[in-house]
Amino acid sequence: MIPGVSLFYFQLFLVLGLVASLEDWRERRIRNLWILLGMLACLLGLAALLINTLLGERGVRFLDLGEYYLPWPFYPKVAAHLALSLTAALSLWRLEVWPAGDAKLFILFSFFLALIDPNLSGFPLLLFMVLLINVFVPPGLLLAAETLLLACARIPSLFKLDWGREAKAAAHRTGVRLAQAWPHRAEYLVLGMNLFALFFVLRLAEARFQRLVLGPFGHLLVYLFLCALWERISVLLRLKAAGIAALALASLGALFASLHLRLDLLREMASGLRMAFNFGLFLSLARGAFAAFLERQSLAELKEGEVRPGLLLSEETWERLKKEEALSEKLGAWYPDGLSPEETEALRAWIAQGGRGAGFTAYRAIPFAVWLFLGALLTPSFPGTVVSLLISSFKEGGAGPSRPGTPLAIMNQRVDLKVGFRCNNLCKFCVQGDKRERLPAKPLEDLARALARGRRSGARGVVITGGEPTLHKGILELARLARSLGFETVQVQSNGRFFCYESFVSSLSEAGVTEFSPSLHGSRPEIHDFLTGVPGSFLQTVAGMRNVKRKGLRLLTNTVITKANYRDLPEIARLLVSLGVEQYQFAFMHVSGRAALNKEWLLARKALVEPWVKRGLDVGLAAGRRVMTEAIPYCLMRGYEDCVAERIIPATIIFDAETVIEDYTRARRAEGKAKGPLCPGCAWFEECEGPWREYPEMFGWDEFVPVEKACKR
Amino acid sequence: MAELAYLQVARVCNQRCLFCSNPPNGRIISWEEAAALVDSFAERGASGLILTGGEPTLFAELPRLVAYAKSKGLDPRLITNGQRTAQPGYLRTLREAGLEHMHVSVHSHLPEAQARLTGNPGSLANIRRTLEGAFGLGIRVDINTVINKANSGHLSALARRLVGEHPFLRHFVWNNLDPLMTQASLEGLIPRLRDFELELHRAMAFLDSCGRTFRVERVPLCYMSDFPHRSTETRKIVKGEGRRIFFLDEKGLKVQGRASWTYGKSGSCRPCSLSPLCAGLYQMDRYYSSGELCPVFSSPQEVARRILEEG
Repeated sequence: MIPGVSLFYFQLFLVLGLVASLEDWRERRIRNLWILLGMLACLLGLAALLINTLLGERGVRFLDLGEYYLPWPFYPKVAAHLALSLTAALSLWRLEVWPAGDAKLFILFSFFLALIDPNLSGFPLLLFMVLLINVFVPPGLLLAAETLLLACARIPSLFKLDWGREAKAAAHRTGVRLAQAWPHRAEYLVLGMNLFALFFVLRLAEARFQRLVLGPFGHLLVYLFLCALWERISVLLRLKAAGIAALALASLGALFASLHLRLDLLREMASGLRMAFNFGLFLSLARGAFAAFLERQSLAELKEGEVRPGLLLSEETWERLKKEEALSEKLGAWYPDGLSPEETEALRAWIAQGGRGAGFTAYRAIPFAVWLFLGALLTPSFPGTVVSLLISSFKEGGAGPSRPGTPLAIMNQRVDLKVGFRCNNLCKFCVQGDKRERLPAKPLEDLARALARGRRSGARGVVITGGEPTLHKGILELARLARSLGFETVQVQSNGRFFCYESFVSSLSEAGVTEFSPSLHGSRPEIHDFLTGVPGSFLQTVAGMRNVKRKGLRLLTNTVITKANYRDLPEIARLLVSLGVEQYQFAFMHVSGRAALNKEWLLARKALVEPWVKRGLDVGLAAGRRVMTEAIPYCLMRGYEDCVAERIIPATIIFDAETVIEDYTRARRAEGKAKGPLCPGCAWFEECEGPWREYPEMFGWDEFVPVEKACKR
Repeated sequence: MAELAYLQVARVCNQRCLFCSNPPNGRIISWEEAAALVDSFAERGASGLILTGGEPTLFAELPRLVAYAKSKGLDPRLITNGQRTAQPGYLRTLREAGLEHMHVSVHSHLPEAQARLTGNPGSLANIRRTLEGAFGLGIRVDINTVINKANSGHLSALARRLVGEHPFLRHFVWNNLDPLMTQASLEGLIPRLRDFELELHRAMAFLDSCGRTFRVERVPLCYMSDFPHRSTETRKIVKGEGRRIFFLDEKGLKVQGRASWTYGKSGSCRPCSLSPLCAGLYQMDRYYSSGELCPVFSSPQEVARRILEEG
């Protein structure tokens, strides 16, 4: 479901994009009016969202924007994205790569993108780059298609060529070019070094922003991008000062990377070197082909009737024309999108007055606004990089792009409501630390406000948890309130001990609780009670589970995997199945809170746990139950990938002790979990969240072996 | 009670292992004393005689002692660092004297690591010669490895390499480092249990998967993963075995029984169901931390059954 605001801005973007493209095509200009109107619409929208966020904190609704709700942290991100786009567009304009109109259009489009989908990959730091690269994709495709068609048409004539002479001529030309290049060898050396530094930094950036790995296709696009801007960029790259700066940047990057990313620097350097070399080859070949193609396409003579806005003259032609006295004043900077109306006028007048139009190179050109528009259209249509789109469509047999693991932050499906942190168990793996002593139960009014806010952000389910939520005096009222607000599922996540009182389970059910989710950590009292720290807790919890099932209610359980109970998982599974649970989950211990105090002895090694987890899952699978594991990466779940809970954990907004986590999926991926140095090579890299980061901090990464692409199920 | 007899014949050595638990004191046993001890062991009906040191091959009359023990009905075994035995002639002499079984100490399959740990650059090359020589002469060789911080990251690679290159190796002994009397603490070689837990498991799982047997000493059962029945101490506890060791120093003759197989236990051991079969943690809270112990809730009967089944 697309939120109304997204749709509105998408339509607005389509209209403005079409208008600007059409205008640029026909008149070779982009009116400032459209840009201004677009900017105004975006600013107004942002202001409305801001007011909603402000009031949303207080539980008031100002404008009904449907499911669209921007949490606070998104505003600085939008600002950063805009600033980066602005910088990029301004630089391109100042470098005389883009005319001012196109630069303005670019900024407008990137503003639109931020509003259409604030969850695009790379947002906020790299989205502008993705957009920039995407702009070059449609022309690339067009060029490829045209070349292919032309080549097909020319095949018969190829047989008539005198190949020996052609080859000789080519060799001669190469010889001459090499000889010409020789005096500039110092320049070429600097150029080579700079290219290397550039690619090295790119590699490091890829390693840092793992969500935006470019892969072979991405590199191709970067090459294309560099090629397209080569005339301008190469000037910079040939400068010694720029070289020193680039190398310094690269060394800083390397230093940072070795400190924080634990990368294999030598490998990355080799990779950077290889990329620079590839680019050199690519540049010569691609530019050679490009030039040859354009030469064939070009008009040999400028005729008055054919000179019209948008006609693209070669740079060489441009330089020659600028030397003409009558024209030197009137021709501005050369742009890759052709003549402006003023320049057209001047050129026509010059030809009419007898200027010689022969021997010039001119191409027909599609105005740049069209490419900008198409590129901007690509970006939200195929989130992630264009590359991930290409690769995934190859893999899925053209099933279209999917975006695993990144649901819209603005549309929460579930509210996780922590009602207080007191507890009548004292679990050795508890992640809540000293909150149980420190924090009082939350007042019902606060909880009601949180529920309302969660509902507004789109959630349909609520999980009442804590601490131990059954200790909260208002739990029945809270469940009733949740149902009256329209929540479809109300789950109570509990240690399950109070469920042993039959009347309490009835009251919860009558108040609107639809799912009971107790935790069981052992198949026998000595194991469960040892882990919960309370003798007798096993008996109460199991009795509670029986009560829930006797009333025909939905029962889901969670089991924390520790060193003390992992060999018991198959037995636990058997007990759970016999108790009639609909679903059970094994969650790997998260080293935080009290669990961190016990990590030296209680944290199990994942490689040791793996076979026992699988045996435990087998029991439920054989019995037709839904079974899941949490915080175990795909590489340790081979053959059981469907059981990885992270695949289906709904987008959740968490009302924690003192804070609100608007998008738990994002927070968990970005801050809670970690990826290792080999992970980018894994077939599951996109979907996988990695282990909780504390685990590799203790034990390193050698248990996590990338899954071959061919082994992905 | 079945007893294994250990006899230190020389407390001198041609290596300088950083973690040596019986470091050189210059003493070499006299023939008379050695013969008398062998006599007494034989009289008590020892189930075997293990000749050790120091480095027993530096005892000049070793071949004669081997032959003598053999004549008394004791099957002599040798625990050696595999340096002097690299000389084919010497190994043949021992074989001819009746040696059929020896343990060679290998601590790493990486030449640099082995060299650093033993203070002998040629150590690994000599050991390879010993292994091949022994195979040629039909002497059974087992591998002894001291688990320490320097090899805790590649225990499984060591096992794989040795079995891969010398497939005639059938049995491995893993001893966790004994910090008493060593310079190991100075060198930071004492491992934490966590350091080797996974690698030891991988090594054990590998050896188990290819039909090799192994024993592990001074590792509590909560760090023995799925192989608690391979713990030396647990086996001795279950089978009621002891051993008799003649130390060539002020300790003299020591008899080790049930009490010797009981190290430290902590609060974590109270709920542990394997505790009755577990020796506990060696040098607890002096060199090894009780903070790493975790109760295990698997069946002790099952462990005992597997040990007794194997005999």
